[in-house]
Amino acid sequence: MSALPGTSSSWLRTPPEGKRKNFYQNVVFGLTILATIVVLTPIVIVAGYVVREGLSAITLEFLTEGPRRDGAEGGIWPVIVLTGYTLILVVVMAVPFGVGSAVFLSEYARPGRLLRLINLTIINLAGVPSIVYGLFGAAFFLDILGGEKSLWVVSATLALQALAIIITSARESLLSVTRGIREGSLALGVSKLRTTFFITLPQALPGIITGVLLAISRAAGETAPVIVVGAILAKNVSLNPSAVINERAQVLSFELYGRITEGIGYPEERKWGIALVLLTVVLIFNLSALFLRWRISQLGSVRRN
Amino acid sequence: MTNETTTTTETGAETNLSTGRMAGGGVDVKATVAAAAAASPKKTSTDQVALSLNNVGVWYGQHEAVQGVSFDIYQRATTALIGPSGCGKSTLLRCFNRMNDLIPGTRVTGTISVEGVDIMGKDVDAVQLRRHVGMVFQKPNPFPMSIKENIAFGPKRLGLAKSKSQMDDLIEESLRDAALWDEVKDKLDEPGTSLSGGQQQRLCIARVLAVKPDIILMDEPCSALDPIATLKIEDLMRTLAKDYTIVVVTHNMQQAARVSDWTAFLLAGEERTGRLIEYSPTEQLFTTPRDKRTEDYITGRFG
Repeated sequence: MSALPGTSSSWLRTPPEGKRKNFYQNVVFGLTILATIVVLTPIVIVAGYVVREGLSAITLEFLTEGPRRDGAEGGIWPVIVLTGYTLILVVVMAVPFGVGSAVFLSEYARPGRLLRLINLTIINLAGVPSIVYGLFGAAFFLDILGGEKSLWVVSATLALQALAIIITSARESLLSVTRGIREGSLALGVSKLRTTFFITLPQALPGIITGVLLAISRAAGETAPVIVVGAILAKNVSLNPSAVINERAQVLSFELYGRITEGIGYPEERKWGIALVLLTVVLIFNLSALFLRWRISQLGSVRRN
Repeated sequence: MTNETTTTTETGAETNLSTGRMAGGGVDVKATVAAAAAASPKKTSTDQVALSLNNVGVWYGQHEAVQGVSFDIYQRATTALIGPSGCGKSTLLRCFNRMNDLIPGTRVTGTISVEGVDIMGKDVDAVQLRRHVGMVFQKPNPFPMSIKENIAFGPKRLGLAKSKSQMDDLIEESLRDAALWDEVKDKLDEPGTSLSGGQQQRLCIARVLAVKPDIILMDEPCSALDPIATLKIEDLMRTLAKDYTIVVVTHNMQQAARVSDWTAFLLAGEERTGRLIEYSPTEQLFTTPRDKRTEDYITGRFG
């Protein structure tokens, strides 16, 4: 102890210039907390406001019955069901293609200028305004393919938009799987295809699910492209799955937009009610994805076949 | 100098074995190798050839990483590849199971034959080759699965076990052969990543044993492990050498001296192209090196 500088433990104390550093450190730390609060506050206020205004509209009738008197009375049951169909169809159409091409781009494609160009294009696609997708959907599915304005066209248009997000995030999470465990599998004489399916994809799955979830949440909220490809306001139609082909789309986002712009005559609280239902649908999607992630991580650490 | 060292080791082989493990000097290496030689009789060059290299070169794009390497690796013996960092020893090792195929822009020239078959041949399936030439990596890389499934993964994907009981037997056998069974038999369903570093590496060895290879490549298998775990792996390597052909890359000369029967010394010059400098029985290479550069390296004058 005597060999240490100083007689007491004074050399352990923060020197004067260190105190200044500590001060700046605390300022920066405080700013990051402030930024977090600034971000969280509107979210809480918006969600709280929607719940407060909309809760009174939420009745059993509102949730489980069809509209009466052009939607001014009755419920939005058909809109809820058809929104569900629309989003499920988006998943069915976008996930296999999205994950498939992400696997190709990250695992099989030969690195080079062409691959870089393709990756850049896909990232940019994720940034294309949704109305452009709507326009493309209308031109391609309705004019070129000669489709009717039906629910699947809305799903296909939204799926195109979701693709870009799904490919980008799935590619990222595939690339983040360490080289070590891939090589471990390949070095056992397991083929590249099997390594991809049994090692790489399961490892990347949580990240892929997050990407899919993000894409679906966005699709659920899209309004502009949905209008272009022919969504309609609440209407009583047959709700069996054949509605995907036979009926026009009714989605919560457009229902809300339509009622807001329609203005007069439509009860204010019902608009908030629709907003609340939309928020809840997105929340349910989010929670189920979280649950799925959790289940996968449970299986992954204990026993996965 | 050499004679002096040998005389002292004969009197106290055991003590030198333990000091040689910790210290880094070249003289200790000689002591270690003499002690190891006393413990196990040396194999002779009349043994059968497992792997034969003829004028092997490796290119990464425009860079020549390894040039003109020719030598034979013998069956059921341990061969060590030593040399300073960047001398191409790992690169060369990865040619033996064509792991370099996976790195775009890599080109291997010359011929490498495994039991007489040229593995660079067009009709050779690298996937099939890797079943026979297994590999253990520098960093333990257990799969994110249970201990049991880590072992079962290979056999399951390759269809090596026909029933559940066969698979269970294979799992136990592999873990026993990798000297890990007693430590994990009560927790086979726990994740492989929950094991310690040394146990993880033995799990990775067990995983390789489960697909029944003939040759096992080890790429600096102990460099991420503590001395005790290293010792266990080395013991295991000596045991496995009775049934398998082992090729180990190591930057630890004492380790090469302790575990190997044959040692190849590689060195890269200014242009960073690795060449084979000397290949001899381990004892000979460490006690009476033929090449001045080998002597300089093992006595710690560089590298």
